[in-house]
Amino acid sequence: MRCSRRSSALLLALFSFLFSTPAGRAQSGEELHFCLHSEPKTFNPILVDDEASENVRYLTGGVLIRVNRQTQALEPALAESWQVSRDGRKITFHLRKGLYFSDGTPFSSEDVAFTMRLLMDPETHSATGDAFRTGAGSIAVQTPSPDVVVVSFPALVAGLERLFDQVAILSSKSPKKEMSVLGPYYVSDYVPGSYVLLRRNLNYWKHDAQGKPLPYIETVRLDIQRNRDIELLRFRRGELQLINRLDAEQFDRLQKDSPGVARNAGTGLDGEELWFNQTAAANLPDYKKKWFQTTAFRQAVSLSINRTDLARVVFDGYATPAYGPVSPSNHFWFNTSLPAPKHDPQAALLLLSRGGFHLENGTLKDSAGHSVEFTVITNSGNTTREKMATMIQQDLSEIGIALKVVTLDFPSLIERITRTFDYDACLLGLVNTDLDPNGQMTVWLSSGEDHQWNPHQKSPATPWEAEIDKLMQEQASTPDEKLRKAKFDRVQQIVAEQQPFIYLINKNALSAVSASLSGAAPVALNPQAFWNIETLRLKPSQEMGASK
Amino acid sequence: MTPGILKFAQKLLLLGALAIMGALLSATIVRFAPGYGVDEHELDSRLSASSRDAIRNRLQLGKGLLSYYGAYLSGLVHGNLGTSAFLERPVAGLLKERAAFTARTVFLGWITAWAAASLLSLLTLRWQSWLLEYSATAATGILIALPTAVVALLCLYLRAPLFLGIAVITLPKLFRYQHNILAQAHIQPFVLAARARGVSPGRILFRHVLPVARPPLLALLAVSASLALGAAIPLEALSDSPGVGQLAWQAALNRDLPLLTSITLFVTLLTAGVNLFSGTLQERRP
Repeated sequence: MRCSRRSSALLLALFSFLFSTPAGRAQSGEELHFCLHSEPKTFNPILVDDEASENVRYLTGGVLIRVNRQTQALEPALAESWQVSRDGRKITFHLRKGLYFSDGTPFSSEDVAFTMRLLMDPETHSATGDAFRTGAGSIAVQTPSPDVVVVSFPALVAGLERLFDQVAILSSKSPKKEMSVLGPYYVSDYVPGSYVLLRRNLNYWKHDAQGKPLPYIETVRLDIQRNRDIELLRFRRGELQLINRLDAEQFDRLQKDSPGVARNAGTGLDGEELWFNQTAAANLPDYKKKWFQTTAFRQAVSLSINRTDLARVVFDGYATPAYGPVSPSNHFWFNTSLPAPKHDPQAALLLLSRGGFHLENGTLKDSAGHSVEFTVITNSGNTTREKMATMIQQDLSEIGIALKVVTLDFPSLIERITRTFDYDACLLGLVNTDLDPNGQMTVWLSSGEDHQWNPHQKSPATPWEAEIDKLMQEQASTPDEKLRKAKFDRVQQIVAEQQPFIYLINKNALSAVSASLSGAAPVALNPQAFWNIETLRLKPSQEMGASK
Repeated sequence: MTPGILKFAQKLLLLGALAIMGALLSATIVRFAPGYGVDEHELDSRLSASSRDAIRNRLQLGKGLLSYYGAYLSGLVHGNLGTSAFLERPVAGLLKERAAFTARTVFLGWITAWAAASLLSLLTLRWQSWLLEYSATAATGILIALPTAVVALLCLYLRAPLFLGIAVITLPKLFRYQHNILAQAHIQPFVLAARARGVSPGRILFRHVLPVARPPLLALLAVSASLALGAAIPLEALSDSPGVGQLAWQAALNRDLPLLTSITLFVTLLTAGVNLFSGTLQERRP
């Protein structure tokens, strides 16, 4: 009998192991369900450097100042008010009183000081912290009272306030450390590879106009789902209420089936660009280096690319031809005086003929008789980029240039563009997370690592790169926003003339929001569809999901 | 020490050596793969030079392969499998979190495949009908031709559990081997004699056929477990299931040397362990 009982217990344990589903599957009626596209690498907001962790930080982190994703203006959050000193090196925050972390620990200026010290510790290697680092030396944080904190930087930090949008405040006293938060939600459960479950922070400071505590939705379940097609399938089935980012093809399909749920927020911040390898150390034939370093050649290639067709065919019309490094959706920093990108193969041929190139039996040749042909590398598995490369191939063939397309997996591609420089041209999309051009200093400075066409220059290789260096340093050393804008406008103008990056298109910010979710107003800035998570509501009377 | 125990210990040692060799070989392949030692975060324009150097230093782990071998083996002895370069977490913890899911899925898939294959084999042998024979062969032929990606997609569309996908991939190969083994046993002279004497089919199966077929069936047991495990890796990766397969796929894409080395070790140990177990069972037969 005992043996039989033991066997039954063992069998029961075996069956429960075999047939149980991952923990926490139970879904309450007040649960918003959407996906992260990779495993969040950390829940420590200081160490965030990937998109999934950044999304979790947005949902859970309390910040002193918030950039309103719709108006792009700064709004007070944990800080009721703030002042930046005239020299742009010091910022004083006046904090809200009587606030508590999710675990009940009181919030004070000591927490801000603790967070800033940790963030700016060189050993932390925080991308968020590095954005504040404009000069040598360390920061000083003073806490004259529990609700006042003064942060002093060793050098001027242009656009200082905006950077605090990324700084989620940690508790200096809570035993739960980074899991104790000041944002609308806190991490309640995490099953690696499967999901992150967030619960409403009952101590969250915000209330709606009627005095009801925010956020409205009780729990947010973030499934870890890399495959975008599966995500769309699950959305159509009603298992998800939101897709934060859709590609144009998916959006077009959804638009046809369920037009009410497909949301187009217009031109987004992200773009696609092409650049030539102008690195002196690159193992390329000299004649190729000469082509790539010739402005007329780059301008001709730019003129021969039909960006309107790229936007229409590859992106089903959900993209706009790109003017330059700044998307028109970046209201303040976009240079409105830039010329619209043109498609003019005849003008391209004229430019090339002035530069010593000539057409011979439909093939473009340089003055030494070399046929103009080169290879463009892009990342494999990205069908959009592969289609773009094919269309560019066709456009360039019209001016006699033979283009070969090579796709590489991402690590191999990065190795080529940052280490071996073994490539002719590269087609890639560099993501803009920051509205302020200071976030792109390493892209524009000739000594920068992200100055992709010719990185790590000891001294600027060309006069126009020297001018960009000067302008970028000048704009970074003044707190005067108008002056900064004027300087960066000039940078955009030089880039449009010199075409070191051939900007192709700016993609639209596309997302999907189920009919059962109200209050969503997707925007161009990240996180596009859930930036106003606090005020989203699930309609109780309807079934959750993408019901039509 | 009895010769039996000594032999078993020798086999265990061989198994361990094989698994370590497999792991170190995989480390060598990853180390020399293009794109090793780079991280996409290096393209984050916010990072300072010192933070980029920190990323690069972290990824320089296997630059000196022999020193990496030494460090890995020394860590292994102390139960430390290193830290994942991509997820920046201890490898042992990552494997522990996901091993249960994979073990459960593989076990259920394997059991289902065995049940289905045995049923099909026994039905075809019992009735000896050409229609049944051809139907079973055609059905398994179709299943064998299905790419793993299609099976994964079918599972998703039909909302079928992943273990069914493993069963679908394992079943056709298993059925063919199993059917051949049982058919061979079925035409042995003593089986024919028993049938001529009118012995019941059940008695023939259990008293005459299965004892003869037992050694190759036990070998098949091990082979099919490897097949099921092999099927789980792409299926988990394609359907984004939280198992070791998904982890392995991410590790390969990100050239994560410590993680891939340990996953290879884990998979080799499991496969070779099942083979050892099956071999031991065969040797212990009366």
